[in-house]
Amino acid sequence: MPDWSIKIVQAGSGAEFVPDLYGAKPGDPLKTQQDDLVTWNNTTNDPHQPWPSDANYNPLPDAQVLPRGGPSYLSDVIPAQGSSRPSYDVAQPAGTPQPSTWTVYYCCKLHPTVASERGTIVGTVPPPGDA
Amino acid sequence: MPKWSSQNVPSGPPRPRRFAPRPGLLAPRPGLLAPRRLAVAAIAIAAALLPALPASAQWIPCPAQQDLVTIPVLAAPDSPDPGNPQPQILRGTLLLSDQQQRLTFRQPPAKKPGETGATTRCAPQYVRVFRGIGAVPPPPPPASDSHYADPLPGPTLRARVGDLVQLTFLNQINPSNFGNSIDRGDQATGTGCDESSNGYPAKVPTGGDTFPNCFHGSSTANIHFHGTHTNPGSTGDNVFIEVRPSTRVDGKPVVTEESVRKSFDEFFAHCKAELLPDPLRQWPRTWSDLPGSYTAKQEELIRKYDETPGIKKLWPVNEAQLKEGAWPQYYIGAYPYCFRLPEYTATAWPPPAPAPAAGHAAAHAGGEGSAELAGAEPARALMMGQAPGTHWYHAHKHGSTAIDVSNGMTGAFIIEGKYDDELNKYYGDGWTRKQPLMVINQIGVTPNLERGGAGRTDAGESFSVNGRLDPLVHMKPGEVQMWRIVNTSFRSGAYFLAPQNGFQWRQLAQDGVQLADVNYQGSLNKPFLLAAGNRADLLVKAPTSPGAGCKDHGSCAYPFQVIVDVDPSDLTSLNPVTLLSVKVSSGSAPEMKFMPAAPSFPPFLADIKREEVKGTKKIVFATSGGPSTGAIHTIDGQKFSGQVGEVVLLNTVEEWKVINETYGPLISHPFHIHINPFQVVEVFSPNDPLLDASGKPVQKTDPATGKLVNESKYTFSKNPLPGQCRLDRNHPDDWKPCDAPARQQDLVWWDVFPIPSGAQLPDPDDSSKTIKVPGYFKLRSRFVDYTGYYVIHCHILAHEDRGMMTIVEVAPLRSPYSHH
Repeated sequence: MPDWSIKIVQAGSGAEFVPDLYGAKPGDPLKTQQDDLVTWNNTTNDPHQPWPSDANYNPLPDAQVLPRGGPSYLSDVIPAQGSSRPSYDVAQPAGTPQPSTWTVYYCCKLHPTVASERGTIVGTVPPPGDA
Repeated sequence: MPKWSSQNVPSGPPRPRRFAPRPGLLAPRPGLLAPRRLAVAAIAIAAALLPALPASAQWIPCPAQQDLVTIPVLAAPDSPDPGNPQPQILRGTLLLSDQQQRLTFRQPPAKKPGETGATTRCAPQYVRVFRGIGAVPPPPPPASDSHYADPLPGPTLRARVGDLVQLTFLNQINPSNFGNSIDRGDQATGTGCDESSNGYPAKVPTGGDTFPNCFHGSSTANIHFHGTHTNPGSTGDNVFIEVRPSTRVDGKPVVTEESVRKSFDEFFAHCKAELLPDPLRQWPRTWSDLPGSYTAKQEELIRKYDETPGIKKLWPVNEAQLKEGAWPQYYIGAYPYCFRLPEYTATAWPPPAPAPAAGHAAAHAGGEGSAELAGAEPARALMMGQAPGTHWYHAHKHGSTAIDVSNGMTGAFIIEGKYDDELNKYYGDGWTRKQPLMVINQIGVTPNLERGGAGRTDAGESFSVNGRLDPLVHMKPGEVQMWRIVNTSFRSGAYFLAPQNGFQWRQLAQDGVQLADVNYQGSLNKPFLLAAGNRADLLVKAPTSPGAGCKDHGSCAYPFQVIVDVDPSDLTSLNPVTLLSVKVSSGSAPEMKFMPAAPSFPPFLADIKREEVKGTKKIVFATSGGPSTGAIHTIDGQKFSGQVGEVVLLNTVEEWKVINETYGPLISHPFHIHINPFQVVEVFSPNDPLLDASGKPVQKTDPATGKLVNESKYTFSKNPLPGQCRLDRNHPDDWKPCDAPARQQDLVWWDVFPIPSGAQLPDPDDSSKTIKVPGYFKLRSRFVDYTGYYVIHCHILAHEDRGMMTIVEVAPLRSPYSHH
């Protein structure tokens, strides 16, 4: 299954999240399948930390995200010019019934008020048969 | 074979993939937005509404069927006098970098190869790749329907026995294009293993992978020259070194071909002078044999790297090794490979003993650290030449072998010799170089264990050949081609079904070692298994007239099918897939014939006789564990520790019983040893089915499932069925094949051989129990010519990364006593 990379690029005094795909623009959603892996490549000279948020990009409280390495944890702080760790496995959210399509909203935990430092990951369940 | 999804077949000119939502769904959202960021915010807001949209992964069009691509070649020059070839030098630069490529994925992931309902989709993916600077022809550009290049193996290396190999290896991977991967030198947070939010490496309640036997350090690399018989240390086939990516300044690597050129030119000149006079010479021996300009720069780069806050430092490791006289482990950006492909020139085997003071063999014999004792060693002759044939190379850094090889860090290494000369004498000058080379791989990205179950492709990715799924090979009616096939897959074997539609084949070589004529003659149209790491040279003949169901050649593509497996015992439960297709041109062409006899057999490949055996060993491969611990892959009960597991004296012959105590899922771990090939003298596969007179499996109904299953060839029952072989539960040492004794002559040479999986056979005294019966094979090998350390391991490379590897030490001949 695929791995995906999202670039963190400098934009003015802040940064932007851009799926590392031909033709992608800042803020474009990254479309994934369940259990694809996603990493962030920080090309800026500042640290960043992708962090789950609500649909208004308010960072979720730690209690809803931790533990580190759990299904909601996106990444440690990514140093300047570094890449993310651990890899984010696009997990299907819990619920009854479990959604077949869902969106993970995230922002930079270190710069939550910078509107450009936000993104979305859309997850889908792989088709059961012929796709 | 997975079908091509019609929606993925390109139907028009390429266009950028965009994922803007439907305009009608755009809606303003509240808050927080600086005016200058309104445009970006609008996109973000739209994305927030995407749950209402049908979504899928960011697939891109897959290619239509493509021709088999020609892989670029880095070659040694031909000797000026072909009638009397003199050693030449394969000089080149192997660049390791990263690239986004169009990779294929079987959908849904859980489908097995060839299973009904499986389709193929494509996605742009970052992979680590080998490229040869100056290799010809240049790699093909991206297809017209894609912004991304298709996968391509590393450049084919081509040299001749006797030649010297001098490769500049550059690691210019940009690690930021991949998830942060830690090895001993990286940031000291976490476990040292790769980590994912799926819970890897500690997904299981107890146990789980631990450093260093886990996936890690995937941007660090080295090269294993698989199939070479050469110096296993220093700048030879040394898999203990770790070359980190070059440091970057302003995004660009600072270690380049140019930056090391002067140092490496100096080293290669020195290396040539040391190695050309004597094929047994093992040089360089110590780090001080390398140019000071290189070692000083390496020390500077590593010390600078060690200044990074919070990392485990590299230089102290090197420093400690240097103090012990060992070869240091860590490098940054560049490494010079220099080793000899020894040519056996004696006309018989064993070779005549050299005169006491003959050449370098006496002066320089011995392994690393033995220089002070060199005089104590007897002069010796080269005992085994490099076998000419189809060999290969691949990344072999412990912890990242699987991911790197599946990314495509593999390539063929064709070593020519008299074998080729004789083929060309029969088929025409230069014929062998025009023949197809087929590098099979299962190209993929992060290993399964790091992701959740819905994303796992437990059967491995689909087989590609030279980076393409089901490529098209072109032949003329009645043409004979020589297919050099390398299974570089990190996981699966390819079981080649017998040729159909009037095609015929004969096998010329196995694992880069030519077959004796009797085996060549007996190979006509025989199915065969290429486990991960195996190679075969085939002569394939196209039919002169169209096959059944084909009106004329020009309109048909004939499939060559394989079964994708990790155990030969599961062949009957799996579906065949098309590995490649052959299109035979219309019209007629002169019919070619199979070479009437195999190329003459070199004397150094003489069978290893029982009388030669001086030592025996038992080596146990096992996969154990369960849901609470995860799978545990061991050799002799141990995961790889960096310690020596087996010791052999130089120039001795040993017979090893290589045992597989894996029970449960059938896994025939492909045993591989570096440096010296071996012959197989006995195979015991307790999972073999009982066959009827027509060769078909005898079946019975499984009382537990009600399904038909194969009756076992082996049984503990006191009343065996006709044809069954009874095992005595009280005498495990007698559990062995019950067929006629294995042939003891004209044996095949291998460097990878799947160890038959263990079986759990019904206990005749208690129907609720089973008795575990290990599988095994026995090998004989001559541990000759080169001392030092190298490895044995499972060639299911995720098993190797997770611990199924140990070190073999071949100790030099020394005597504490001499007459005077």
